[in-house]
Amino acid sequence: MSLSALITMLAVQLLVSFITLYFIFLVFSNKQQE
Amino acid sequence: MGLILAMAGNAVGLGNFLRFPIQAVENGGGAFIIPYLISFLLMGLPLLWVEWAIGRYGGRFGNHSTPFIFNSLGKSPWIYAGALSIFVNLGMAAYYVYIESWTLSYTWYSITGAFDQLNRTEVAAFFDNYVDIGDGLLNLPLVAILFFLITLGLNTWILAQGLESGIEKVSKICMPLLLLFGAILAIRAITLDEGELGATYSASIGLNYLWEPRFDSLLKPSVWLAAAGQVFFTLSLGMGTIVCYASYIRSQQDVALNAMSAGWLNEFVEVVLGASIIIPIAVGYMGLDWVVENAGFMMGFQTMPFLFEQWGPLFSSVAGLFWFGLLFFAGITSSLAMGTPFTALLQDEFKFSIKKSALSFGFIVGLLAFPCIVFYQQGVFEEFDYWTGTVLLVVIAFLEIILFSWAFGINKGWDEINLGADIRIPVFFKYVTCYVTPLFIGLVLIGSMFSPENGNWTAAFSSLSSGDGWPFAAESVISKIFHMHEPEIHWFENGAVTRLFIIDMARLVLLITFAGISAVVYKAVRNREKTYQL
Repeated sequence: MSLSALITMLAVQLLVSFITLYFIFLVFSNKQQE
Repeated sequence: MGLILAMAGNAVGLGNFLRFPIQAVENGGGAFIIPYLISFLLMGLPLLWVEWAIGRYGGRFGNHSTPFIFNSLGKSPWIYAGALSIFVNLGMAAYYVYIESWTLSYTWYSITGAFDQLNRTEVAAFFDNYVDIGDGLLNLPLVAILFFLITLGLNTWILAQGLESGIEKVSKICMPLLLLFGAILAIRAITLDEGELGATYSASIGLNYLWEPRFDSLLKPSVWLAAAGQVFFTLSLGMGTIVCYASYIRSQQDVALNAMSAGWLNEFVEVVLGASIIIPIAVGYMGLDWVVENAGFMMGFQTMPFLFEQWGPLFSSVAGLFWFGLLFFAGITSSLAMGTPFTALLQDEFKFSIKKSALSFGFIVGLLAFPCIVFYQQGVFEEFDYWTGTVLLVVIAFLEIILFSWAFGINKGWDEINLGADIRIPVFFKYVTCYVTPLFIGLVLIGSMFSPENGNWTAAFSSLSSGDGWPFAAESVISKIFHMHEPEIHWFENGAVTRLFIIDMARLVLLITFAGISAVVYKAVRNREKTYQL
């Protein structure tokens, strides 16, 4: 696997995973505050 | 959380695991992801907010079905845009539940080892035999029909339990299982090495093709069209299901964050899991050239069981269970959502009980699915998918964004999105929602109508200017309407009906269904008028 493909894959997948987890975390923390 | 999972379940469907990776392969691999993510940000996210906000706004007035939710925001003609959404959901459910039933039967076949010892051609032929009606109408595919009825019955039964006790509960079970099965398969797929478990190539070759940035494809309008189309399909935009679910949330409850969570969860399943299963495994055994040449939706059924077979009897059963099981979970959470606009209409406007409305949905879907099953080989299934599952989604999404941004007004709309919001949405998105998203969807709509052969717009304009006419692609709306690429031109040949006749009859069935739904909606409007007069 080429370096550019590896970097693109990791960058996109990590970014999407991070944003998803962040929003789910926000939902849970808001729920607890309620 | 139940609602977010139900919304995510609605979005996460067969498209995440079968359509996305295939679209990526067909549209330049790594180049596809860039227009895909841009389409997601400029069209997907704003439309998610818009649909959630439209739904909550309509729900405030006690409306839970798309015709009357749309009518809460705009004047009477918008009711029929809502009727179109109910029609789309019924038409889609007819063939979608049939695909879902394949995933159920293939889970069963995988567990019982039905694919053991079959070669690749035999596995592909297994599917053809499964859906084939043979030489005559009396040779119905009985096993396929049995599994379809089981799947339809299950959908109807869950719908009859209501949103909270049925759909949300099922989503709470299905979504975690789907993520678990998907993660296990993805890890197995991306670590598959040359020589391991009989693999001829390393799975990384497939990943390399999917993720290698090829910027030349960015200049091709066809890639942008495909990317935008995938965003529609994967987020279940333009269906009205999100609108209906959102109509049940409290009037001050957040929509901005909830829409983000459900939308991004769908993206996670698609970009992280969906991209890491079917293509790497298929490339590992069949090679990149074969995959690029043969990539298609049916690969999931016609090729995957054979590839799993290479993992030995036990692992192939487990992999088959995981693969078709996750497809089934992804499918059922989406098909349940398709029932909501219609059942809500019957409950709200005709005082049907939830059970009676669910049964009505099951009955109509069963009737509509019958031609899809019997005339599968003649293209009725594809016809339903093309109109209800592809073209009309874009039409409804376009109507929704115009309704929200222009008829209702972007200032009121923006306030509605931000009402009770748990996150602050950048004001930049207000202008995106008002100008960029409608333009984007409008371009997708025009693009799909006039899509040229091989997606080559430059050659098409040259052809037009040189007087040779516009070379419509077979999948373009104009070409479809006028049967430009159909080999037959008559309904009857040698005393027998042609494929053209069957396709036109399928269109007639769809038109009659839409007319019927419009009549039901008209009756509901009259009922309301009478009530107000009293």
